[in-house]
Amino acid sequence: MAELKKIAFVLDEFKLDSPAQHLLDRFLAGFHRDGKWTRPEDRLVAVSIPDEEWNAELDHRVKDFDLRRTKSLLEALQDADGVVVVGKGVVGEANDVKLRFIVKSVPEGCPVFIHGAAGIEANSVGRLRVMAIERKIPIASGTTVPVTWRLPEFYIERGMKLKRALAVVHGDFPAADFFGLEATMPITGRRAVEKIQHEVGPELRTKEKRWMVTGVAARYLREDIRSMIKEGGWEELLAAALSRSNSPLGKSVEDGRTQDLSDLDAFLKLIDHGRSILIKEIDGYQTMIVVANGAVKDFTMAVEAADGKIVSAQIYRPQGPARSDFDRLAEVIEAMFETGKAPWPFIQSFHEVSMLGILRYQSQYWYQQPEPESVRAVADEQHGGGASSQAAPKTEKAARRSRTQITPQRLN
Amino acid sequence: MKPIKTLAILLENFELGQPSQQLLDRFKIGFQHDGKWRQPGDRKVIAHVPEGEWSAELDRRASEFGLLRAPSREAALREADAVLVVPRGLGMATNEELIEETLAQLPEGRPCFVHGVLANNLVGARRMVDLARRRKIPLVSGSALAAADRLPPVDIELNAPLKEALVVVQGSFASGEHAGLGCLLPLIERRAGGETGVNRVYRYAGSILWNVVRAGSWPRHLLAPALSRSNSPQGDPVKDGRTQDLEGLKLVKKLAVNPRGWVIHHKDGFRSTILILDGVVEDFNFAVERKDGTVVSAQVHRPPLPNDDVYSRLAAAIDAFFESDQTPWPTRRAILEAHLMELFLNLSLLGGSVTDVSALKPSIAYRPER
Repeated sequence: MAELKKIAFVLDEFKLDSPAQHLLDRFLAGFHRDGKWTRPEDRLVAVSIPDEEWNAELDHRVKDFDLRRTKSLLEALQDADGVVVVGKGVVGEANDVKLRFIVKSVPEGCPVFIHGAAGIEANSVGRLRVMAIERKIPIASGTTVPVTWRLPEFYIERGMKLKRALAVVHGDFPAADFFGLEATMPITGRRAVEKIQHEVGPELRTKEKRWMVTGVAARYLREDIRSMIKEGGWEELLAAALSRSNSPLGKSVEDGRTQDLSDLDAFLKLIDHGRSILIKEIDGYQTMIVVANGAVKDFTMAVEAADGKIVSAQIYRPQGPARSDFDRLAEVIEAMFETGKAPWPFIQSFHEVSMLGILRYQSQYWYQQPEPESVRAVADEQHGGGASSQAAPKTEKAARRSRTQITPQRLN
Repeated sequence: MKPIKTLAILLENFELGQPSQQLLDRFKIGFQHDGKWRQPGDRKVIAHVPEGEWSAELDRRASEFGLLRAPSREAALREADAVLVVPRGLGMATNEELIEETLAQLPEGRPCFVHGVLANNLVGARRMVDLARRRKIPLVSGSALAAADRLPPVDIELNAPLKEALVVVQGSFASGEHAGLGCLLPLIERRAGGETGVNRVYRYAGSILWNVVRAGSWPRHLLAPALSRSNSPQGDPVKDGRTQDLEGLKLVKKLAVNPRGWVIHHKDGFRSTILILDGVVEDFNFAVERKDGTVVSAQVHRPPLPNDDVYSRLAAAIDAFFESDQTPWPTRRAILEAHLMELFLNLSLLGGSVTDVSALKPSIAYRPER
């Protein structure tokens, strides 16, 4: 465990109830971890933010918590034991040039966590990772979605044989779509895949058939969404996910009645400006993201195992302003800084950005491997790492094992 | 499992957002449970509300979902395979006459669930349980908190060696007290030896609550782990979103508006505390200390309105009870709950600080089976 003497925050803005505020305050003022308050003493938290974005709230934090304002980004990064980068908005508007500068300028081996998407376009993310590997920098990106509570508890063993996964989210593009990817991509990272052998010169190498996306399709019209769901036989999985929602809209809001959203017609009738996204992988595994604006106001998901068994859960996002899901993300980031191990593989971030790039401009895109050379190198490197995705913070998991009798839903 | 072909629901009124609506809708329209939509199928649901309380909302449910209106309580009960009684309000006080008459008129052997407290005092609760036993009616009562999820999803294993427990809730008298018992009783009855009954109940209100803690009258060391599970700290976090160690910074006392505390000394030496702290947090949390000093803490999760999905969990528990006659939790919990609510009320009205019920015979002892 490395001692964390200095944490650098690189922000593009600082607004109340934004990820920047939630994460900075946790490292500065402390947060609840496994039933206890944690606030390390003698830790310097330095922030770099454009001058025009500095505001009175940050002044409060300088006065109350000794937040260090730096004159330049380089000064913030100097001697840092960990760097948190938070862009604008709920999922962060990544600045590829800035991110590359950070990875180039941090001390060698210093972990970097990027809140939200790890870049604007996929090749940039690939290049970023190559730079990180060269400089031995653990790097990860993400939001609270992979680490927050599942209601009910939801656990998928690494190496499970899975058929498909579905997430129901809500919101505008790209935030909603990104949250959907954040919910489903960790499943892809954990599922069982075949291994293939390929020759590299005289050498025979083994590679997993993972992260080999063959196509993405999006549908925006209600009838098209219906066709995509029905043709793929997604009704049952969608119903299982929706059954975990605590916030059905429509009649439920008017008079509080319960509603059977497993009825596809009733569900689609509620949708307003929704969309469905289908992602296919080379071995037949599929992911669907349904952006259900107008139908529900929470995030839910369902996973189907190869034997047909389904588990489902709500991805719990506690209310603001406290947003205690950021406690869990802060815990994961802190563990990453202390151990030097990324909580999940960066290839996941590459694929998230890649999908968003496709969805930004096209309604469907079918392609074949290979991926860009830089990314394939990343994939080979990451598969050996075995980092845990959809990771509940470790202390909480250990505590649960020792003191509870809860049996979470399991797909085995 | 026996099929419930006809379910009678007896209401005092029907109000949107109240337990009457939440439960009736779930049994007539259906509800989400365990990842699936659970439909009432061809089950007949007959509702009875007193004259003048039948509303347009009930008419809509009759026309859209086939809810049947019973002309009288007797008519509803006559053909019922099970009955659900939902008195007016949130469940901290009840209509004993309605429950007693229901138990008297319900055909023998048919299960009965009462939302909220079973009676308004110990004598009433014992009378209901005796009547149900004589008529072989499986009887249980409770509110949605008994079925709520916990964050994190901890549970206390049966026969756990526990030392003491503390819950933090909010609300005016008696809704806060009722919520406190709703969170507390399902936890502490699982301790080794089960519930043994109550010796004394202490009431601390206002500044006295903070003064007596110095003498160890209630376990302040459990307040921090309980509050650590809150998602809604008040004060500075509301103003500027910052994280804050409410207890460590001694802000709880400052934030609490008209705080109340109830400390219950049980016959086996166990001690439980209910703190009603308006203005500190806005969710329900608890911490339980084992004899080895380890602490288990969690939030009792209350999903957002208007759907209030905790009622789906309660409906599932009630449905399983109706079909199996196996009560989801001990019937005698209702006696203890009614007794404690009565003691709380008496102490509040009389302004006392302690009541000694150690001489009560028989004491209210029970233990859950699972």
